Amino acid sequence: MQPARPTRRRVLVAAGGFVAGLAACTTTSSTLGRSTPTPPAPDPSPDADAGLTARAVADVRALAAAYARALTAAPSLATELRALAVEVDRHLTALGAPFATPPTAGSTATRTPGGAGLAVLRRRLQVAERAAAGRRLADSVAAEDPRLARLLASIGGSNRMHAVVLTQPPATHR
Amino acid sequence: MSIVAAQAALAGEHATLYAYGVAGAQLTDGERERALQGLTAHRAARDDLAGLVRAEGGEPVGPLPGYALPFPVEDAATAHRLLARVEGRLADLYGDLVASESGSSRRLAATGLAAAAEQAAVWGGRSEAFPGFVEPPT
Repeated sequence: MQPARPTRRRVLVAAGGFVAGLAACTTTSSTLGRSTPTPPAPDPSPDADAGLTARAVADVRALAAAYARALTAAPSLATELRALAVEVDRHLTALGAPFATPPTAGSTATRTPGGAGLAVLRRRLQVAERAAAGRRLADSVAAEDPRLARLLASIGGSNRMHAVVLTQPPATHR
Repeated sequence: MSIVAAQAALAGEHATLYAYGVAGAQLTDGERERALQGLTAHRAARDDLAGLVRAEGGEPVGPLPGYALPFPVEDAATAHRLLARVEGRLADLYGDLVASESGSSRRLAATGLAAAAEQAAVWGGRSEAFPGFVEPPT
């Protein structure tokens, strides 16, 4: 499917029929919270939420570091991985944490892995994304602050999307 | 608890089921298998949401007799695009529900959000940092 995929937001703006159809059966709700989507700089007032947030931050940092390592090890995956790594960085920002400092390449060999090595790299990231998704789901359920709950659920959803991208052959990655 | 958010997600599931029916006709055999799994999962989610609405004292909304499609669905590519779009939209509706529920109902909503986000990617939707938000938080 070649046609440039519009972003969902653009779609929603432009969308006539189907989305209107959706709204139609939900009473008059273009106001379903759609228009004011609560940017949650998560409010860590309850201690429990602060703990959940800290755990999420540590997790996302670890994921960011894994992407940085993979990028160093496999420059040929750069286009694909960088897009995902950027989203992981956005998760950190949304959680109120500064970006992870990418580990310096250091002495770790810049030997470019071959096909099998690349597959292993992608597979590892995929496993890490799925594991993170599971923890964000649990954290979302546990959160007191509903805005934090939504953010954590959303980050988990993004992790699941990343895992799907990482299962697709790089050539067809869109 | 928000019965409005639960009804909206339920309406979204109805619309998504309709979209799977439309798209299914254009898919290849292998893809159709995947779509059937999606269909089964969405039916289960629909029933769970209807149960939630009832538990909150409401009458679950039913499906519309038909839905306007955002573009003609006439081949596999447009079928994929339709499914990616409706799954993405469904994730947003579940995002509202996550914020308005707690406990097991929130788990249902967060699970629905993650599943819809995943399916959007499966059908070729672009990866997103914040599925379930119309306007990203950052």
